[in-house]
Amino acid sequence: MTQVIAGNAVHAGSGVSTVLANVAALMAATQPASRVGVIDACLSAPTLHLLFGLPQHAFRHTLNDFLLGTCRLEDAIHPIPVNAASDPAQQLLLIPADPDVTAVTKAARWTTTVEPLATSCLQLAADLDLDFLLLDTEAGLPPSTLAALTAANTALLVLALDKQHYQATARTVAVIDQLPLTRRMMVVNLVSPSLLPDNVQAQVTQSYGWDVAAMAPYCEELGALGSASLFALRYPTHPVTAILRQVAQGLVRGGQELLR
Amino acid sequence: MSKIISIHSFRGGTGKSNTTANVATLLAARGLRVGVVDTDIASPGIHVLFGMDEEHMGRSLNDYLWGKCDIAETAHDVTSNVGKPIAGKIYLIPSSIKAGEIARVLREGYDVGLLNDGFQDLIEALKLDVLLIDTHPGLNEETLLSIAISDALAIIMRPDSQDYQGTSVTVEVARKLDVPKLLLIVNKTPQVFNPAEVKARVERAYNCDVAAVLQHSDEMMVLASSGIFALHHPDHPITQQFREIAAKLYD
Repeated sequence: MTQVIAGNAVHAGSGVSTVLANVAALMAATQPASRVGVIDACLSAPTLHLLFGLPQHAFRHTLNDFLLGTCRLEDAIHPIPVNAASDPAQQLLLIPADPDVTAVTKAARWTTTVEPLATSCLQLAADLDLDFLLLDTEAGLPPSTLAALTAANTALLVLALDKQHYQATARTVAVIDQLPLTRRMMVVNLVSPSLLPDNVQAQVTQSYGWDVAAMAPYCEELGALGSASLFALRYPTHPVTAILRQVAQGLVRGGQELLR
Repeated sequence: MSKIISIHSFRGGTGKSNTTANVATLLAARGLRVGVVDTDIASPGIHVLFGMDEEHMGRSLNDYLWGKCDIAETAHDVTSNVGKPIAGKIYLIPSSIKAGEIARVLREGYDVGLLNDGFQDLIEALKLDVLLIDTHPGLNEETLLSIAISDALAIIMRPDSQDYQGTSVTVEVARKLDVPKLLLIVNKTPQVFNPAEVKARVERAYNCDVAAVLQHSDEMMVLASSGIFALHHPDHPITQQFREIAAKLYD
């Protein structure tokens, strides 16, 4: 059974894509490696392909083509090596979205167009025998995010530590709590180094009632990398990579629990 | 003569609302009457910076767009919420935070022409010197309209590959729409970068004036949108940069 994880945040720029891309790569590159698929369902601002170093001109098909009915979902799969140096066979499967400005503007208006996402990604997960399928969703709860959450059994909510996000996150939590999901986890991101992580974690757990899987500080090296590649693979021994690994391990454990 | 200023970014998470709130406050501190419209209907946020109580928000831009009231009735005087006495006035026109109302706007859309009429009505009814528009990210119809009617436009980006392509297209569009004043703001710059080099590189890449390169700041992070940075840290270098941005946009 595939663990389908929908990553979401209430505002763009919280770090959902960064967390998901790194976690996916860690799951696909660690022994025993998992079979991992990643879908960029953030149609209004797709960026996963940048993090995975896949240039736009290399796209054959995208999620947009599938939703518009011009290709099958599997036609949009792009294999991404996660351990090119020592084991080129280790890869994850990415389905990118079309980052072209016209496509993005059009997709931002889609409502019913996105509905096939819910069932087709489950079919894909079964066909490819994936261990994990990660869905990078649109910020907030637009129709595409709701479709992704319908398919998911795990919700991973990234909370950027900013007051603009607090109350909106409470509203998202209230909606997701109504859905029949197996797991709900939160990653608190962009924590100022001047705050005490334990206090923040206790406060967040108390406010939302969800497990806090990890607390990630603001990180200069991550900022300087500018989303141009995967932080966890470039800085394998960095404390932030340890935090990302903690999220990956939390998800893998959750997957094993699902199997039992 | 009143001015309309749009603050835009192609992607979310650039610090657009924070910059808008600080520029608005600094202009109001000069004694101006300032209006701020939150047209980021899908993910409203600027009301938090102006200390509005979400439980008792009252009328919002959505009510005006659905024909329930005049736009002036959706304006909230938030001058006394910023924490320090200031000479001018700040009126906020918030977007609804109710999940059902956000969903309705996303599903049904709205008559974008109403926005233009609304902006003019607001300026007249509240005798505004300046109207700041916190836009919706991306390049949809309402954003194009806001850009087209603006006297000045600031585009905010982070030095991050996620922001490059969209920013470049936005700059092109703004040029085609003949915005009288166009400037770029680079925000959340890692401190390991040299701001002068970032400025030169971005100006070369987009062939557009960079008004400021703002560095990542822990003070900004700790404040975490719970107030107006420029009033909490009046002598901070970022506040000085906000002042320069406000002057470049308005004067």
